[in-house]
Amino acid sequence: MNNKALGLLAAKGLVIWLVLSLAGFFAGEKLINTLLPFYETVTESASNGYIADIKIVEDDIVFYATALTAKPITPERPPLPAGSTIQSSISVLHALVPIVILFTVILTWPAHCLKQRLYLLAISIPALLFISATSVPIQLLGQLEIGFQNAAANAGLSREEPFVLTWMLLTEGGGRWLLPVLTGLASCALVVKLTKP
Amino acid sequence: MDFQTFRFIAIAAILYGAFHFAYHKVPDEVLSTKIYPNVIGHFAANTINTLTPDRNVTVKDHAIISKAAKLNIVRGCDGSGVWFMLTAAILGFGASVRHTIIGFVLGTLTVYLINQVRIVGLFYVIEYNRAWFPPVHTYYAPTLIIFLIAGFFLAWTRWCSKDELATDSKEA
Repeated sequence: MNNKALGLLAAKGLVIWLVLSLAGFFAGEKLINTLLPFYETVTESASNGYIADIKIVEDDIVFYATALTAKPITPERPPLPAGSTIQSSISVLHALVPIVILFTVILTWPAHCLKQRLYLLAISIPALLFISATSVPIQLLGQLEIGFQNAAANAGLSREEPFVLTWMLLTEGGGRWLLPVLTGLASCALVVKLTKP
Repeated sequence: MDFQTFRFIAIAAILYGAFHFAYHKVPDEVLSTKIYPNVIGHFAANTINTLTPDRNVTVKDHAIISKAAKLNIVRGCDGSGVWFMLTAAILGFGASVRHTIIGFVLGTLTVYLINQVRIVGLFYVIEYNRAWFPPVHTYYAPTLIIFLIAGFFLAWTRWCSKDELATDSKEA
């Protein structure tokens, strides 16, 4: 790739980023709405003990978690009773960030033929589901865990950090940017291999 | 996926995780009273005061303060996530030691400058229209920064490959 082609690729990427960002800002809620049942399924699977009801309220994705069984917080504290509902939330824009990054990578990738472009579009769906599953549901569960951690700390007790909280901190620190970049690159590399003559 | 790509993705992901966990060992107090004011805050405040002297911005611990606005620099808003990502990618690429060191130094400077522009920009956003802060802070800025850093990485890998090719042909 010569300098001119590289410059054109960068310009293409910038335009794609801008278009996707604006589309997400003005219409991203529709996409997130479509993903809500998926978020609920993943959240329930990852939580192992909540019924998940996830809705968009104003500009936030709100997770209403109903405990199926009593949830222990610390050994010394009374547990969260079964049947009680607690909630956490993240903003819709927050959830859109990895999606914008993923599609910027995939759409900027210099496809060499129509077949490659179609494969890229096809692979973007599982890639989207993968980064959605590893970001929003875990962030929502992690927010609940932060509440439990704070409750334990306020009572002067220590509580072991659960995996969802560790993962949430990892993704919030920048992992939710790295994940779509690497997923996008892996998807593109896979498509190049699949479409090699 | 070929082995090179898989190796790059695996190394970058592992290194990123290692950097992240090391960063979380640094106490909040050290970040907010020592690192943020000295590394980020004063430079950003000087920039704002140079561009707009009437703001008379001061720095108190992790906060950049003027009469009309206050911007807190908190864990994660210091550019660390992008820096870790770029460093992990540079180390995972497997270039020569010389190229890796140059990439790390230039990459660190690039991330720092981009983050300073972001901090100064966010300060003016708060001052101008507070309602614009959430979308700029959580949505537009992170995705644009990732794009710019990806651009830097692409340019660096291109320079590495060209340079190594030139060295190889000289040796041949």
